[in-house]
Amino acid sequence: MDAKYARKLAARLNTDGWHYGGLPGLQWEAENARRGEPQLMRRIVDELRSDVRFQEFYHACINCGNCTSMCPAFRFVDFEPRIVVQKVMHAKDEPELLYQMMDEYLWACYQCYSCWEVCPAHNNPGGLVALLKEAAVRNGLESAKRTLEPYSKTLFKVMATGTQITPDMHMLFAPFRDWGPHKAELVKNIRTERQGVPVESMWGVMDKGWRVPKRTMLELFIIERESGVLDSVRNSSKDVVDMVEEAGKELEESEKNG
Amino acid sequence: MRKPVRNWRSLRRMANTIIDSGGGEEIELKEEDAKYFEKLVAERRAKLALGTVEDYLRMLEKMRELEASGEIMVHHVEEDYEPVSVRTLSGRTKKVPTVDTWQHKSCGQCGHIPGYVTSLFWIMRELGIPFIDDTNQTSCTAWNYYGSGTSNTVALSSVFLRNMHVAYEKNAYPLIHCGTSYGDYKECRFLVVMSRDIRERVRNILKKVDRDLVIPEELVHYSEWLHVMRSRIAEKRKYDVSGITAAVHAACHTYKLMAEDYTYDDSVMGGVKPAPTTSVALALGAKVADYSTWYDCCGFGFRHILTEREVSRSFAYFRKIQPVVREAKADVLLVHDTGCVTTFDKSQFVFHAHGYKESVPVISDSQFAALTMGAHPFIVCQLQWHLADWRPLLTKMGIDWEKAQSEYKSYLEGIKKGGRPEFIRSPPRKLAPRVKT
Repeated sequence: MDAKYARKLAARLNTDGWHYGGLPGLQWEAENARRGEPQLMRRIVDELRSDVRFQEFYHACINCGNCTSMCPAFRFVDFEPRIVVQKVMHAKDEPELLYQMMDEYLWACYQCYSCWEVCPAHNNPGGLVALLKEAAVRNGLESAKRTLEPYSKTLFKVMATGTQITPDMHMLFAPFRDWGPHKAELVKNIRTERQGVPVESMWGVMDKGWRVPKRTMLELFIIERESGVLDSVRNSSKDVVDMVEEAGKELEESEKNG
Repeated sequence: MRKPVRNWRSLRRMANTIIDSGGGEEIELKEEDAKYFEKLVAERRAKLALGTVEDYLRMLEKMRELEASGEIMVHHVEEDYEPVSVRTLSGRTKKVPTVDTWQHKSCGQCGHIPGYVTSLFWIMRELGIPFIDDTNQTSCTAWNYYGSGTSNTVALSSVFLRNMHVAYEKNAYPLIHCGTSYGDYKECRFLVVMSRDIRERVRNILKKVDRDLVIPEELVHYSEWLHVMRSRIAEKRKYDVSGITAAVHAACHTYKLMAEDYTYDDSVMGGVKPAPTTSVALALGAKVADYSTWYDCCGFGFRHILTEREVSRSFAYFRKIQPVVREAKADVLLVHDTGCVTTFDKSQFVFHAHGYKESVPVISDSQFAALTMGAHPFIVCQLQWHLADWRPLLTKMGIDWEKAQSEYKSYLEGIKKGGRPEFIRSPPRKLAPRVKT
């Protein structure tokens, strides 16, 4: 980081370092932004602004706070859609504003889109968060890697089979201890319960939501490969993508062999 | 006839007056004023901010233009699908198909709340309505996208149109079970129609999986199907549910994500809240009680329900379950989406362990309707997968759940010995599959 740029950043902080770019920012966020690579920060802004959806999702923020007042995440964690839109608004000149938020902040969003419906300026803060999460994954930010790690089973299931929260994910009680003793009872008999479901597509199926044919999974794999999803996710969750590719190649072989 | 008016304040006042009086009045306007006046009327009718509705209607117009120019195919809600019209938030009339629907199942529902789907299929069978439960379907995959940014527009749109093409080939109209798939598909459709770049990239990918670009004329959520079928469902009710008070939670992705296209009805909640689900409960004879946090989401958050559950359950319990019990004094919380059932149903136990008392059973509108029609609570409605105590509800509905539980135990014994369920199958279809185009 050159001295001029460092001075510019320092000038934006108050004596406690609690405000950044005229917008609320936590101390550690400001620190993260100081450590960020300027090229990466600029690239993220460029990717965001060149996305075709950006024109739909961002217009101009009037700082009314309607979005925050309706935001479920705001009630329980440190997150405000208004701050997201404000930082997007200023990011063209100060890309570090976006970066500091992407390192952790925006993963709190529930993606419920309550903010979008109430915005008088037609901004879509939830949509902007989705674009930024996508950029975080594509650029392999540490926050994305950390976030995807405990989520990897679901990530794999959706990518490989097109279904998830499958019965075999419920075969152990431990991950669902907080769901109570009733859940423990269900876990004991889950195979039989599943065989009692009177719909043919779901009957007895444990590893998928329904009986997905191989050809269907292969089509999904081709879509993920051709649309760049595999390349993008590889930067943040290599192991999962390796497994998806392995499964996809097996499907391709199987198709070739009839 | 009114005199021409000049300024926008007068136009706005006039738009409000005309809508309040029910319309039908002729006014004379300059051409440039007329355009603005139309916008104002659309805004007022839709109860949305200016611009949104217009964009949405423009997209639908462009879809028709693309079809006319041969650039895309549109899967129309033809008369064969016996459509029923509803009003959407945009003020536009939407056609909801009622027969020969292609069941677009939900990845979250089928795996661990199967009663959602089994109840819907059972209702269709009881009404003699043909449907297709196709295994050649993926989920929308948007769980990954909204939860963790692990997809992109082209992929989501390709998955959407891949599934829609399967339905088109089968000559069945897609009926989308999941609120998120419904919202995601509306978003994808908007982008595919409005962006040539996305459209062409998606078209190229579809070619690689041997599929064509066919866009549905209407995107329809199953709760809208239940809404238009509510009178026929009510005719078949077996239990009197007039003593039941229901609270309703509408899923964010049905009515906040591309809000313009969901169903509203002036006779339900004054036309200012989504009509489906509430309308079904009312048609069945139950009371529906309002509560102050009706607009709040469930707390699901996609990733949060899996990896940050303390956030999800705190929100679900304190912002929804407590108000539903304290304010609405509800016997049941009715919902129409996968994530909402999961979050509300699974988030109560921890609070009870901490001494909180509020509890309410959480089921889908399809399960409530099926129960009222006399479906078996466990074999058909699969209530055993639900954790919040449903016993008080069934007792109040007049359902002998202890007898049903004993029957279910015998049923499972039969299954353990190698027996098969009596599958819920569609009545014979009226439409033949299309030849692949």
